[in-house]
Parts: sequence; structure tokens; C-alpha cells
Amino acid sequence: MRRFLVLIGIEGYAVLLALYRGLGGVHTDEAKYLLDIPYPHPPLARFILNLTESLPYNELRWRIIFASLLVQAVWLVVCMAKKMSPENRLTLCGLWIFSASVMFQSGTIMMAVLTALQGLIFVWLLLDAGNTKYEIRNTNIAGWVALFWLASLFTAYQAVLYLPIVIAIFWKAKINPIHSVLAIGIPILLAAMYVASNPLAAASFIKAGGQNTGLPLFDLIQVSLMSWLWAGSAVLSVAGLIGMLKSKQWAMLFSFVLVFAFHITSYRAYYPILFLPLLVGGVIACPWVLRKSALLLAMQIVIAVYVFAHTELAFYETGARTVMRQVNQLPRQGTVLIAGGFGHGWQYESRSPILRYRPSLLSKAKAVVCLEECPGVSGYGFYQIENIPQEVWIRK
Amino acid sequence: MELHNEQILRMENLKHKQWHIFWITTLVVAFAILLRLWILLPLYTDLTMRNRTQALIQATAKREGWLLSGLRIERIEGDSIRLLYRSYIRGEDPQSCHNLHTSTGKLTPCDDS
Repeated sequence: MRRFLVLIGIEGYAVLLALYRGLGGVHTDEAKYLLDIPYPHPPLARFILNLTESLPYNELRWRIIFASLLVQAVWLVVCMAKKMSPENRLTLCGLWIFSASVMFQSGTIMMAVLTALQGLIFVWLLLDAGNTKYEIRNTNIAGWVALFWLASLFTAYQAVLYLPIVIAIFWKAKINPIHSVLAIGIPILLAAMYVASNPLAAASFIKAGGQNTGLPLFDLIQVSLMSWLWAGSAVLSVAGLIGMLKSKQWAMLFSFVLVFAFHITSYRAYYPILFLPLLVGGVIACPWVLRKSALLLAMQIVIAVYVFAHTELAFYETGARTVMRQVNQLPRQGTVLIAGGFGHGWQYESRSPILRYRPSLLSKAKAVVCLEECPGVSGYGFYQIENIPQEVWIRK
Repeated sequence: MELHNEQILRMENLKHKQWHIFWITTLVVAFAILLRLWILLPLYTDLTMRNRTQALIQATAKREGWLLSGLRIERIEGDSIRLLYRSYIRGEDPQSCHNLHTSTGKLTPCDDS
């Protein structure tokens, strides 16, 4: 009964985080996944997300599912920490729940969340290798691990950052080395082939890889350090890294270096969560880091409250949602033209096809959104809507 | 004891089956990707064709107001590229099929051919 109440309480926390995320609108990457727009990631997760596209509250449903998966993953953390004392286990759960990356990335429909959860499962499999029963278990599940590795890579390419952990799992499994090499290598080869078969994914890959080339290395390292501290609200970040170093968990350390290097080359605000499974793994591998558990948990909660209080919370909806609510009410058939740069969020909010603004396309349009100057629209039988944040023109 | 043996046998079966499932999944995924790569092969083998196709598709997308993310190359045949344009929106996505002539840059609906 007590566990059930805890589960309900945690779920309430997850739903609240999801509802908060849902207030603003759909981020361009979230729209890309919800609409199954075929780049940059392989299709597995976005295909599943797209299956429920026609159902009402699709966005909110997935926000709650993603938030629940991330927050309820605390039960997996409990399972991983079964050898720890109850006090340390409780502390570790608190460190997970009050990590900034859990608080701020719960409810985002981003592949990074799923990749982090997949990373947590890989860390669990790796640390479980210390169990006496492993010898029996590893041979029984190696095929499933290979399948899970394939599924992880076809959810998001960033799963490759956990490659050292996957290698270590197969290494400890003591199965046929050729089998291991194929089980690890073929999914990577298939993911690379997928990029080659999708020019848009390849182009966005190159763009993402080169986005930070103009920035000084010192700035990039600083951003990546902040990202690591943010991931575990500083306390779990430091404890996890010390744990990895003290317990000489080389596989997790290599993964940590890969995640850090990935931040340097292609930092995005939603990547810090990729550190999280490694940090939890570090603490479990070396429970010594929790010897002052009460103090650590208190510090984690204080930092989490401080971070939450000092974060600019967005309780307003995006321009795309406001504008498209008006445009979607128009009875007329036709396209919506948008002038200027816009994200996939506009497509998600729209019930009509969206095209880039060209004066020659005005004859097909029922509405024009001018995020930058759109010459010729006023003389083509359109009138401008008032009291709306963007310049929007509707056909008379 | 009999039940125990049966359980072991079932676990052994499952152990073998998981690898079968992995290899079958791998083959299916590889087949689907190789099919796509086969369609795009001329773009990988011919640099001139690749550059020309890229320039033509970008110019066409700009002219038609298309978003590049909605474009998919369906076939490359001689001097014609079959393009599928999909407007991603909530609900059913409208799609249109076009032939893009690489020599003239002319775009015609697939129904016309």
C-alpha cells in the first residue's frame, strides 16, 4: 500500500511537469517527432509517436507518457541500488527525482529523454554483471540486449554515446566474440546506412556537427561543464563522477567522455540528460560517495528549489499556437504561406498545408503569416487581423 | 523434476529464439535501407548528377514554396527524378507526386506522364 501511494505521488509529480511543459506549445523538434518528419533521427520512436496523431490530446498524452517514464524510472534506480542500505537507496532516489535534467526535461517529447532511459538500462545491465547469477543470466539475454541496442540506435543516434557500456556488457557476457562483434557492430552499420539513405538526415548531421566550430574551445568546455552540473543538480553530478572514478568503471567513464565531447561539438539545451544514467551508475558502483547521504539529499533539494526559482518559467503559448488557432477557424480551403524562418511547430499547429511565402503562391493561399516582410500581400485581396502577436493576413 | 526440465528446455528455446529475432530484424531493416540506397545510387556514383540534383531540388522547392523536409526522391530515371512532396500537418498529410526533368528543370505532375 505504501509503495502504491509513493507511485501515485510520483506520478502526480510527473503529470504536473508534463502539464507545465504543455502550456507553451510544441517545440520544433517535438513537432518533428509528433508529425513523423523523417529527419534527423531514425524512424522507430517517431513512427510510434505518429500512430496516435489523429487522437485528441495527442501532444499532452505523449508529454505525460515521457514524463512518467522519466520520473517512474526511479523504480529502476531502486532496483539497481538493491545492495545499498535503505537510507542510501532513498537518497539516490531523491537525487534522481530532484535532478535538474529530470525536472526540466520531463514532459518534453524529445528523443534525448528516451536515449537517457535506454542508457540507464544499459548501465543497469552493466552493473548487474557483478551479481553471482550473472553467469546464467547474461547468456540468456545477450540476444535481447543486441535487439535493444538496435532499437536504441534506431530511436536516436545519440545512443552510440553508450557504446563503451554496451561493449562492456557483451565482454562480460562471455559469448562467442564474433557474435559479440556482429551484435554490436551491425546495428551501428545499419544506423550509418540509414543516414546515407536519407540525405536530409545526413545534411542535418553535418550541420549539427559543425554548429559550434566558430566558438572558442574554452566557451565550449564551460558550456559542457555547466551541462554536466545541470544534469544532476550539481550534487548527483559530482557524486556520480567521483563514484565512476573511484570504482574505476572504465566503460562508464569512456561514455562520460563521449557525452562530454558530444556536448562540445553539438550542444543543445536538451542533451544534459544524457549524463544522468552515467551519474546514477557512478553512485551505485561506489556507494561510498553517499556516506553523508542526508546532507547530500538536503543539498540536492535546496539546489533543485534554487534552480526552479531562478528559471524563467514560460506560462504563455507560442506565437504559432495563437496564430494557427485563428487561422484554423477559417472555413476556406487553401494553404497557409509563411514569410521568414519558422519551425515545425507551425506545421503541428496547422490544419492546412504550409508553404514558404512566394508572391506567386498568393492565389492558392487562405492566410499569410509575415514573420518578416512579405511584399505584395496587401494588394492581393487580403486583410490583416488585429490583436495578434504576428502580422497575419486573411483572404477577404 | 519433470517441470524443472521443461522450464530449462523452454529457456534454451528462448535463448536461441532471441538471436533469431535479432537476425531477422536486422535483415528486414537492412533490406529496407538497401532498397532506399539502390534508388539513390546514381547520386552516390555520379558527382555531376548529385550536384545538379541538389541544385535543382533546392531551386524547385524555393519556387514552389515547399519545405525541404517534405520532399522525398522516389525514383531517378534517365533525365527525370520522381519527387513526392508531403505537407506534414496534424491529421492526414496531403501528398503530391511530381516529375522533375534534370535537363530543363521543368516540374510536371506524375499523372501527366
